[in-house]
Amino acid sequence: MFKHANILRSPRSVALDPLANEPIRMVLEEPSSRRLVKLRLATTVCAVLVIVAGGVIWLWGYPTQKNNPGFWHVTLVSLLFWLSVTQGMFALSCLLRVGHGSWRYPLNRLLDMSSLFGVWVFLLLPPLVEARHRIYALGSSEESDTIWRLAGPLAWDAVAIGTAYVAGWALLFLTSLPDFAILRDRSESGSKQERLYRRLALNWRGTEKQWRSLRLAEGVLVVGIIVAFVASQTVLGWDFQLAAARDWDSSIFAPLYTIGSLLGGTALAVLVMTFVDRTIRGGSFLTIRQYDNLGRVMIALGLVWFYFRWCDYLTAWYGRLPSEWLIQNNRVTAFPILAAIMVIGCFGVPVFGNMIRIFRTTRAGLCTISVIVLIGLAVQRYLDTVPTFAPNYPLAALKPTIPTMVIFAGLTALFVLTYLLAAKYIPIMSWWGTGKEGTRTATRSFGNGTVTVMVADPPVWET
Amino acid sequence: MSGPVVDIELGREEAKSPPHASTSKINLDLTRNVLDTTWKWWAVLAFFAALTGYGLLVVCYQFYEGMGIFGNRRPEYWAMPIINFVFWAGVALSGTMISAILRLVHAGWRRQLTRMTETLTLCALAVAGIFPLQHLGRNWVFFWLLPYPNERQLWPSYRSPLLWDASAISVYLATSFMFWYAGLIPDFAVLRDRTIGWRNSLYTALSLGWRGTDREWKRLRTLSGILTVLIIPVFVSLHTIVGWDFGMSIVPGWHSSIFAPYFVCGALYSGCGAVLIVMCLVRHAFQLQDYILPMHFDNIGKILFSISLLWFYFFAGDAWSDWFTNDPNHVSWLRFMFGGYKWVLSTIMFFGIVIPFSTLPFHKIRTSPWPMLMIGLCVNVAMYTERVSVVIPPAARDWLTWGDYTPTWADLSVSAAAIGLFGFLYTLLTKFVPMISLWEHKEGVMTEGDEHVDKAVLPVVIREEAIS
Amino acid sequence: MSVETTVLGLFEEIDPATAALNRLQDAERIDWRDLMVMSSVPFPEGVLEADRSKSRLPLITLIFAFVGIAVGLALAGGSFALYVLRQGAKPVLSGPPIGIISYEFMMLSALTAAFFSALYEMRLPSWRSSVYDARISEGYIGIAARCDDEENANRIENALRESGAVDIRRDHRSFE
Repeated sequence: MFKHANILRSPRSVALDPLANEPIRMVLEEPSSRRLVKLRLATTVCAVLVIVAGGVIWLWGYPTQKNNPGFWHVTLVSLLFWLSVTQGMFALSCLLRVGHGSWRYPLNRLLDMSSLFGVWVFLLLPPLVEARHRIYALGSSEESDTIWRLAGPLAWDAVAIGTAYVAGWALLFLTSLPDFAILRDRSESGSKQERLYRRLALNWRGTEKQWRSLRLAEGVLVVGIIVAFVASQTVLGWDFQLAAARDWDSSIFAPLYTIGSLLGGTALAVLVMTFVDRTIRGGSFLTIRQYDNLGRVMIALGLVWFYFRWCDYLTAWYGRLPSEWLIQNNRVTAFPILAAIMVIGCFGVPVFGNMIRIFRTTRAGLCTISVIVLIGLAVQRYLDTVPTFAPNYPLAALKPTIPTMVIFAGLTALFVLTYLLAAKYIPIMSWWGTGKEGTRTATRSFGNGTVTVMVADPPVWET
Repeated sequence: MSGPVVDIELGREEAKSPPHASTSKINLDLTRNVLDTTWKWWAVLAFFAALTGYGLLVVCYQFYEGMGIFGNRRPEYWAMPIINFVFWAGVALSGTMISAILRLVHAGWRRQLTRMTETLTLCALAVAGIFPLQHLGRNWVFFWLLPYPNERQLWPSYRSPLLWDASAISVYLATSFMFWYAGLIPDFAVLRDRTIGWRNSLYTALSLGWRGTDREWKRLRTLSGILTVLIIPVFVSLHTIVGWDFGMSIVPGWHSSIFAPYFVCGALYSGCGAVLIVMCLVRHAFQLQDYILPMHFDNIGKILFSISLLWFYFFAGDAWSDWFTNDPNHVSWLRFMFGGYKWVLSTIMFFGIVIPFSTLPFHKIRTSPWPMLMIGLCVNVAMYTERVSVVIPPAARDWLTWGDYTPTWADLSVSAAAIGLFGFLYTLLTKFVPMISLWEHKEGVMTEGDEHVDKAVLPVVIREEAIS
Repeated sequence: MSVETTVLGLFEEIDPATAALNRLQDAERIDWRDLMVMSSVPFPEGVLEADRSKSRLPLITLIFAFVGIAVGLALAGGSFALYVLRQGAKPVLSGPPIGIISYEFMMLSALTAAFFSALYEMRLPSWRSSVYDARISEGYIGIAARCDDEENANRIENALRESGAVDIRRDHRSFE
């Protein structure tokens, strides 16, 4: 029978919850000496890797590798891989918001932070692309296919990728405003921290008008990011698809890369989530529910990936048009092991591995699956481009070498560095997001069982 | 983080639900379409029967006169029959999408729609399945396509996408029937308990002795979970294979790797439009205004809008790469679209893009049943025309063409008769099957409620367990 | 003289039905095989569940999925090998079509097996007269307990009455 007990818990109860406060505390307080050492070591290692990788590209690569297209191509493909998985992460965050998954709240901030990788993309991608064009052209005249040709896919790349990242930054910033306000209020008065968060919080006070505006902005940005993400990955796919010179006009490339990006984003989300969960003292809101659901998302994405890949292969196989079949077949016969890794990594492991409950619901299991998925996706990027060049260049020139692997390691370090730096200033979990979930669910005894009752979430665009 | 244990009253408040909402009232309302028959039902049935009968006569005439009465000719050897087949197979995707995908994402509002959309699937599939037989030259020996030992020393070639098609359609028909029937068993039990005479005998047989024991419900829940998860790849593969009927050929304009997802998306699009049509008509015909709410139209409208964007993405992606690369092998079909078939392109653009994009973003339109019916009709007109644009222009290549393809009276008659057959089957089924799933609706009423906080009324729901 | 009978109680609300079921299970120590809950609506998992039998549905679905693959392989591959039909330079057996047909038959087999084994586990069809009350279709919750003597039957009746049953009767029809 109805009792006057509110299903909505008071925000005060959230404010007193140690789990909710830990991410805020981690930003406000100096870490323990042991943790500080670990953080400094991690940052140093990453920074060194980045500097070494940078040196390999510009100080060694640029002067000496002008006749080695494999160097630039593999470097570029590595950056595109990281670009796609980081965009996939914050696109996943937006899709979860649109889908009202009630398990999404602890993950949103973690996933949104990946948009900060865009800073490095803006700094590195244009010079890499231009350098590649200056060094070797894709069988076309030098000026016809450069980044400056506005009617070409590379210019659209810049606009689409740029839009997606900028929208991601906007979403991250706006959804962090309430947390910046808490940090402002809890910082020592007059300190540097307090001044910083006072500026960042933009006079956020939690008024009804501010919450309404935030909800509206979040709604618009979420939908915009999904559109921008699809456009961004589509245009990246069109870099291949529209290259008529290669007889490579498989129309499925755009959606294939979009799905691959989401799959990679999901896998990377699992790894980041696990790392964060282990670093937060006393536990966090990240429970087996998040792992289980991300595993299920991976099953769906893996199936769709395989579906697109199979469409691509089967169309070429069945038609046996010589130029098309040569490219498809080349991928498998010249690189059988890599092709197997790609299929196992992007389909076999995420789909069948996640069907086994013990893998899907344990940290070790799902992390192993995620690492394999990321390897598969990286190999996919490589395999999709190498056979295109194979008729024109000797394969030996296109294989990954130690320097290119160093560059890949440097880009990985860049990703880790992004999170290390961001987590220093932005709470790794949204206080108000997790609080929102907590205030809107209750347990009810129903018959002789217990059920969770929750407030049905209105759509994100309804304010 | 779990909150305190609270007691809240579950069950819709009176303002939002039928007055004195009790199980008996729900049973009465939702079995009305089965137990009460008005002259209007007979009139509608007779109309569709007449249309179907006319189509049957045309088919008999085709047996007598030959395939020449249709507009098929070189090079457009595949025309209206296959267009009809692809269209109706597409409409058939809708029911499973609503039931399976929405169940997977725990959308509680699906409960009132699952039955009518699953019925839509079965009827559309029955109509679609007739066209591969109808478009054979010698339809009366269609059984030669079946794999049984014979003296012809010929065996169906499974290398052909047409055989994959036959398998996929059969599998989907069988599995969607099982999906439909499994959900019907508890409702047949209610009808058994509420009827006498021949109806009681019929529903006693159909309900299989269902009593609603906890064991039966547990097994039904497990079965529903398995069917839900497995039927999604089945319906995706159905329309994928239909797309491969074209995609596997090397005809420019057909040979495109995106055809499979493009067809699946188009199928979902037309299916969603058909769902809107059926929702509106069933709601009006059987006075189900208290059960099929504006909220349902709103949600289907949002899904339709998302699918329209996705469909446009695939459509544009397919056309774009051909246009941009200007590959002479691929661009010829586009020339037709801007040439002799520009009415086709304009229809698709107007009904499939302009109208949905300009109406669906508005809440007021999305929550109004009759405008949504019109939008559903527009979407289906667009998707039918889109199938025309896929089938005809690529086949009508530059050489040996005698003008543009035009359908004959026989083509149009058979197309109209397909609508007649669908209407006939659906109308007939409304007399035997409750159009809203009784047990699902009652489950929704039991697990959803309203919480009053301050001046707001918050909808609360029991969290459904994930399908494990 | 022991005569098997079933005591059926009808409840209007969930809580009294729950109380009755708990009392029958705990206090009266009725085995779960002799208890049955009947309703026209499925309850959330764990609520008003007496049955503890294990379901083999997922396993059977998986087994028959493999059977379906075998059938598909035999049909699309085996039959090609038996009735060889040369088509130009194409191989007699080709992978992707066999794969597609195997996939379709895998799904057909798995789903059909799931459907029929669910019916089997539900013990349907069962057209013989069994313990039931048509008012269950009208929203009543039925709690049925099987017993084999008068004393137990009386105890069960008392438990149901004290828990708030609106109607109690004895049903001599088949329990399952």
